[in-house]
Amino acid sequence: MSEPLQTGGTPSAPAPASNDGRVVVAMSGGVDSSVVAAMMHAEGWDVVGVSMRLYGDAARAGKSCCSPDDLHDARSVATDAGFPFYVANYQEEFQRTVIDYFVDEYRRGRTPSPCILCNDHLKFDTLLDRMLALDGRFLVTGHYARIEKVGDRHALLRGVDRNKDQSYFLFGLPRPMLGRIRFPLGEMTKTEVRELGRELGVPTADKPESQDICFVAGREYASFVEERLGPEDRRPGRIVDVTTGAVLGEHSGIHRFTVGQRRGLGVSHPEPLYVRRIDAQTGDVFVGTRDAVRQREFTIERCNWLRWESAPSEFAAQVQVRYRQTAVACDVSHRDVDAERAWVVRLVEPMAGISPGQAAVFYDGDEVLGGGWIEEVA
Amino acid sequence: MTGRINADHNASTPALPSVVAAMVQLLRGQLANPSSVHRAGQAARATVETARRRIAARLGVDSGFVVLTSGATEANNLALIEPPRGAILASPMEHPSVTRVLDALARGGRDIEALPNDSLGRVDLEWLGARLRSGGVGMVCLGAANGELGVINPVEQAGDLCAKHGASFHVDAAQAFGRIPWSVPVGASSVTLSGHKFGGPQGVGALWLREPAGHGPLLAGGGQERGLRAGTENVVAIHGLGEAAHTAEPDAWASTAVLRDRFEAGVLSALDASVNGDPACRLPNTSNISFLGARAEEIVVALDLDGVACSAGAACSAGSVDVSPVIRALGIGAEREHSAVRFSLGPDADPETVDELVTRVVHVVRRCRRNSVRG
Repeated sequence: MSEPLQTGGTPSAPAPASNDGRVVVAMSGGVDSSVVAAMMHAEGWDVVGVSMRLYGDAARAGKSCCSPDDLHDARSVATDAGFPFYVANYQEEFQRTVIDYFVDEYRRGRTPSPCILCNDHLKFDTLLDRMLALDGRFLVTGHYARIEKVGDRHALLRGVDRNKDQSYFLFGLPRPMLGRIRFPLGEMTKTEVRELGRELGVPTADKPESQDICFVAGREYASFVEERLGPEDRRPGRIVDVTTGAVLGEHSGIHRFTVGQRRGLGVSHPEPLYVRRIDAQTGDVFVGTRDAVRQREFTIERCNWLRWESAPSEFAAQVQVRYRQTAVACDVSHRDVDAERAWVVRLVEPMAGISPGQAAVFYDGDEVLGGGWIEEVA
Repeated sequence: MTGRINADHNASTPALPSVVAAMVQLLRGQLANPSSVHRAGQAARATVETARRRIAARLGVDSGFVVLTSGATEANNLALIEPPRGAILASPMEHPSVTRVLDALARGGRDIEALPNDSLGRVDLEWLGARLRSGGVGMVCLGAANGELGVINPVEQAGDLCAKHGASFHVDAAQAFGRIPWSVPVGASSVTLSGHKFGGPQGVGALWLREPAGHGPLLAGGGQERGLRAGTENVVAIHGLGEAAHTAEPDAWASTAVLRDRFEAGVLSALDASVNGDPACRLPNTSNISFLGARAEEIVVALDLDGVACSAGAACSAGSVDVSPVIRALGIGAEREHSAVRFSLGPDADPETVDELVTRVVHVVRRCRRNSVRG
């Protein structure tokens, strides 16, 4: 937070006329966002804390993120520090853009990434609008990532705590608004954040991390998805060896599988088997040994670029196809595939576990160039 | 002018100065249990009974019994504890302390039917008459005035219809008592009122019962309130309620109509917006406006940051705002539902404040109407 204040005017988001240093801090009730809010308040910013109410299932007891208990925790941080706090009711948007999407992807034999959708449609869309409506200068969150001014543009970078880096989930940020978003924790380690929380007297400084997908807390996702699938979607199918074509077994629904999965296949085999591909039409789940499931090329869609306004038709980068993965070298090209323009990613070394539905995020060292959604894997 | 503006009187009113003085004086004195035999207890008893008389006087009744409760919610619950046999008719625009109780009764097998309304929030008296004539109706519930829209309901006529057909009639008068000239309709069997809606304290209210005998209690225990409501009386709050009933001036509220109209004219001349609820028959202080293209919750928050108190929808326990069932019952469409904000002035309002309120509302709505960052 040592860089000078940026007013960051852009054509679609002119700099605010007011000079009162108001920031809207997205508060989940967890340690990170609580510390960010308390920290900015202590630094003299006019903090407005906002928690998003995303789902209202009272049966979902306990803390998972944004549950009623968490909202209460967020509110208590605001009350203690003395800044205003509001709850934004985004249940309808969340149902539509995250939960429905989540179920639908499994129905299609894909692996969803709901946290990215929540970022794209809730935090850095609806909530960003809210920040502007409330005359804020910046929307601030507790993400472990960095936004830095580079010349006349802004760059999204990995957080310095490599273990906690969340830049992967942020590739969808709207480029014109990068100058109005702040991630103060990007320069800190988790340990430092907790320490700061204790120093500031934040009530939630020692709160444990939420590990599950926020809206399926305490339940495994398969039963969550099953409850929401129609009977026609819960079809049994075959487990097929991708190399030989032999049928190795049966399953009770493709939504129970994800590309790269090793456990729970229900098939005995001398070597470990991994899911390589799921065919939603036939219900076939293709599995193979580790070598047999390595792939090299895949297409991506609905790309969002941060490094450039529009990406060059060919470039080299490092890519992550999931969170928690070391980025690997690749070439990206925008070319015709089967008479259509497509973004094609070709890895230098083949790799297992490239799942349709996941995000491919491109890096140049620490900087996020942008990313897209994995569509087809060759 | 940079002060805070309270445009949320329908949620809670500030306590009248005489009410504050009366309650403080009692708190400083010796608080005693009205059921105690000794002198202090008798004094407490007298305080409670004086309040009861004052409420009855304001209601315009000289029979029946005023049961003192913890508020309108308890009073409505008590009114519906054992409804007479037959169908129960109620408007979906009633307060949740009526509608949720009826939902529970429906789950228990009772026949609950909705009293229809038009898009201006006016209940259909013809439908009511016809339904009563067709028989089998045990009870009708209709509020005297709707707190969200301000619409004043025809409870006199509804009461006459009920009396004619032998149906009980419960009137939730929380938003009318002490605010508009009002007395108990001839056909009413029970009336609810609420302390904090007309200058009294929160946490106290009353249920007037025309026929208290045989009515079951909600809270059982000691035999207070003629066995209708157990528990040591909240003497201080009851004293405040009685004082408010005694000194409230509906005329002071009546004079807000001009200011409310000034507010609406100011807003509507600057913005594209629409008023919800029948403008011809409303509480004088209430204005419910839909601002298409903006989200009600956002407007309320932005106004709060700009020093204006108002409200939208129904607050939930987590503190967020859901669409109000009252607005939903108008059938005006999702966009108008999600952009409906309620402004409710108080007797303290003046033209200067109202003009400032208009300025802030216009400024905020314009900001909230800007295009999405994603285009």
